[in-house]
Amino acid sequence: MMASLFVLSFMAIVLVIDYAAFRKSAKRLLALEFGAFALGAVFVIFPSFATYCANAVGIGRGVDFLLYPLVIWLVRETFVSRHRQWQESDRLAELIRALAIGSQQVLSAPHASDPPPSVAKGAAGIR
Amino acid sequence: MASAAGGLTVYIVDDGSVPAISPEDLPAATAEFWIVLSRHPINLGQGAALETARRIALQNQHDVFVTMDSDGQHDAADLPRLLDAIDSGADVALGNRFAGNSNVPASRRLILSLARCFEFAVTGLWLADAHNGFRAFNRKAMAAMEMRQARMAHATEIKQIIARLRDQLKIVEVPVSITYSAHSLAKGQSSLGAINILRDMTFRYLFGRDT
Repeated sequence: MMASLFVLSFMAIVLVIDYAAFRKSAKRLLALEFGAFALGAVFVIFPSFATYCANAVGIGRGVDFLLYPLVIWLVRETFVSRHRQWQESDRLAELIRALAIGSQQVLSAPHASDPPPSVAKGAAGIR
Repeated sequence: MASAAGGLTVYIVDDGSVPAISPEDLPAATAEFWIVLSRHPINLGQGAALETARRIALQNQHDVFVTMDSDGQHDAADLPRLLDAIDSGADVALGNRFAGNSNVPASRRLILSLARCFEFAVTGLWLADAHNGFRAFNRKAMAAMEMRQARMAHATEIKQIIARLRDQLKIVEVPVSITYSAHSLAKGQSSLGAINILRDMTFRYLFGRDT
């Protein structure tokens, strides 16, 4: 009973914090979170419902019924975010590179035997 | 670094160093050859800096491109040997510190031996020196060396590209000397860097864009 109260209180606090943060900018996200937490609260208040659902799909315990999808979601989320991170770092590298190419400077070489190298359009040119 | 028939141009990429490299830091060298200085506003890593230099250098009609580490380990006196290898018909000349006059510490020798086996497993190339940054490429080879690994795994990535094009590229290894000093050992990657390389390669394989 105490554990249920603790979990429900924790969910309520998180909801209040997120409501303050997202009520103007992300109402749909907030609604989704509220729905997920409401479903979670049903399982917390009526644990026998989780067991009923678990038995219905051939899983022994109610907690496993909740845990299995959570683990699958967590692993998938890790892969997706890692993939996104690599894409973002590639994009960042290209952006930084474009800035570097655009700002290259050719330092003067009064005794060089060959003509100066060409530089990218808009670059600083020969200094 | 790249050379055309007429002379030499040095491409320096400041990879977000603090303080930034300023043209005034390079006074004496500017007299006899051109220096092209560019700067990454933030640090990306050695592979990213090399790729930036590669793209800038390819804009110019150079015949030969040479990459060098900037920690003082490589000896510019070895440069003619690499250039000669390209002039003699090689597309890629890779420095080999073990054939040259190098004072390789025992721990580094062990790591490089393991890297050699690892690269053979990954690329099928059995090279004497798996991770030597002193390399020369002709224009055809340099154009193919697009590097996606921003950090140290670019060395293995270069070997992967070479291995993929092994039927089209002539590859030779050339003796070069590497001088390990307290400065270069402190500045260069640690032996544990091998783990980071392995991690970057795995993540790139799993999560990077297909080439």
